[in-house]
Amino acid sequence: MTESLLAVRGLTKHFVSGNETVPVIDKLSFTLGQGQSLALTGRSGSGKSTVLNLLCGLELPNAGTIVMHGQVFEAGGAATRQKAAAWATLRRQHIGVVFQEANLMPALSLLENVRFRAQLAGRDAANSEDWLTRLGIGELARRYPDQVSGGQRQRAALAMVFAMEPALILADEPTGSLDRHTADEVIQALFELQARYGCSLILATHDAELAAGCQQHLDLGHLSAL
Amino acid sequence: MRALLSHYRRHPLQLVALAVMIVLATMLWTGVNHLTSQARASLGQSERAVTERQQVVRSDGQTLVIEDFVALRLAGVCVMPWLEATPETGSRLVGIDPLAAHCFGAGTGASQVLDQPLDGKPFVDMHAAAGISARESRLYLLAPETTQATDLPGGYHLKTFSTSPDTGELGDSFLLNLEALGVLVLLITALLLRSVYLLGLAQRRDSFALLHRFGVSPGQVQRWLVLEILVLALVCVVPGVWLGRWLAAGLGGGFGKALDGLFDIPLYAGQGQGWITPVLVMLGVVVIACLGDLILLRFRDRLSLPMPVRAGLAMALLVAGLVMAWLAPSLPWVFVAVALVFAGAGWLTPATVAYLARWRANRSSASLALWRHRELAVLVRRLTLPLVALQFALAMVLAVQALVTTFEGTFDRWLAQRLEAAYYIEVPAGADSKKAAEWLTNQQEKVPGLRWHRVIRGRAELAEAGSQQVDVFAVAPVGSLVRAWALLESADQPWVALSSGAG
Repeated sequence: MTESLLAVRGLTKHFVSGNETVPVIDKLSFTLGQGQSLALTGRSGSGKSTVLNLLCGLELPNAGTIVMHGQVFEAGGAATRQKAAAWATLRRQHIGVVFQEANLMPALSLLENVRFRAQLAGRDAANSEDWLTRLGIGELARRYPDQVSGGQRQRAALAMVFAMEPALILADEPTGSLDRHTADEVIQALFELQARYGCSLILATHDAELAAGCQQHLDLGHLSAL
Repeated sequence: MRALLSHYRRHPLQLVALAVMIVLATMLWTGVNHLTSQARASLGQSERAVTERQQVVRSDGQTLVIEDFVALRLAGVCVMPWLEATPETGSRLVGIDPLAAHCFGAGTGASQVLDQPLDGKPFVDMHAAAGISARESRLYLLAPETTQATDLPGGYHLKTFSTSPDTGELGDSFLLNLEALGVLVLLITALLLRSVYLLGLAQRRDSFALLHRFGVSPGQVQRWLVLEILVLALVCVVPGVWLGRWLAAGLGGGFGKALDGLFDIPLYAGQGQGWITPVLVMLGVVVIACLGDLILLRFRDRLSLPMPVRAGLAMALLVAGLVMAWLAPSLPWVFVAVALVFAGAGWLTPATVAYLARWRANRSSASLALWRHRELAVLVRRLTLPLVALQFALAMVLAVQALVTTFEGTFDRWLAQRLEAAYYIEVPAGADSKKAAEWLTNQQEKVPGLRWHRVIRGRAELAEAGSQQVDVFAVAPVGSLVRAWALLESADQPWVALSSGAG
């Protein structure tokens, strides 16, 4: 039995728009073991990005409990500031986040981005250039994000994430803005490195082919865990 | 911190623009502020120089008589009699006792004035003033500055003695102009700094969001931003203040010469203000202009008011401002009133324009017109602060312009009484003025009606009267204000009289 990294119980989130309450996530529960991967699928607006935001503390749930890396986060109650600080520490040290775009600091070169993320997580930044090389963009290390292509930026974003040696990677449509060929290359690199370095992965996507590459699949459209 | 500062590495011009703006604004404001302080000190000094003397008066309010002089002298108090007499016909005369002038000691202005034969007008010997048939006469007993109230015998006390015209309003107008200019510089500085800084901040918004995702708290980012702007401000403000003091020293030299010319004695107060105040003020302006939004962000929920309340408040400010402008007793209150009017108008304007734009949009059939009006409606709601700031700047420009115009008028008229002439020929220091005088004398013979006056400031030597030292103070030709002023004596062509030894 794989040791559990993440356990989600009864996670509920709704947004308030004027006088109306819009439910987004309703009593979602699942667990994810160390080194495992989970695909979150569903149509646009089904709440995939909201779940990822809840799982890294960028948003707070209305109900439910998240147990992450040994820390328990319960919805509601006081001490919001302490919770935010605890989530910030987790994001800084243990959770790597890859979004569809805007993952890099625009004023830093690709290499500086990787180094910066590793140092922020308290890891050794000496291998930063190696990570870029492993992802096939070593020769672009000194370029700035606006001087490389979208696919190269996403590879650099993956290099940043792996350089921080995360326990969990949250990827929100990481290939959504790329062409098919480049998207395949990037996602292949993601699965490969995730498997090699043993970190867990939650991939939010509406692409069934990408979801098939993950060990678990959670369709938010039907809320059915497989 | 490195990640934050890296923005300026990729956009160095933004940093340069910010730094240059802070340095220049600091220099300008410090210069103006420094000049204001110097002007205030110099004017104070000048007023003291021309107005402050002290006299001994009777505590029972009775007019002084010669017995009071005797009583005071017997008590060991050194006083100088000053008898003002207005004859039945003619101008007022002042009779003084040269023997008693020693009370003021050697080298003081009073003794210098009195250390010469009293054969002219308006100063005459005491017996001459007492001997005329006077319509009105009054005796004053002047005491030197060293005299204390405790030196006086019972029944007497000290009081200020003043015969000079009051320059208070002129000075106040002058200082108010300089202070208004200083405020204007601060306001415009804050607006420009804010614009450039917010442009940079908007470009860095993605980086801040990314830092938040990476687990850096917003508070930490805000602290770095405060530190960043403080360091930048400190690095730029200190040389700015130095340059401002240098600028003020340069301009102050000219100001000092102008005062010397106006008052005939050196009155420029020189360097006055320290470094701490301008540095702290500019640091405050830079921090508030750049980080005001961050500070307000913390209170956003508490400051957020419903639309009707905001509209009511804006209207109340507007009405209060208008009423105050109508009833304002003095110029500073007019400033406050104008500020209130523009704050209220600035608050109301965006909502009104947005309403009108929406109304137009609803009646537009063309798609581009619809877009234009909708866009305008959205845009103006975000322009409240810039609009208020712009209105403030316009109001300040108008106010300063009005003040400058008023001041210029007052100053021109004031100056006319002392130095009225069509042209001035200035003889450089150390140069021989005789050649210029000879040439002018020749011209006077060739050109009928040409009049010229030799102006000698301060101490001068009359060639015609041996080596006699004179103090020069005259008005020629007579200016428009002089006729309304109660002068001790006025005469046509006083320089001619002076050069003939009759002054």
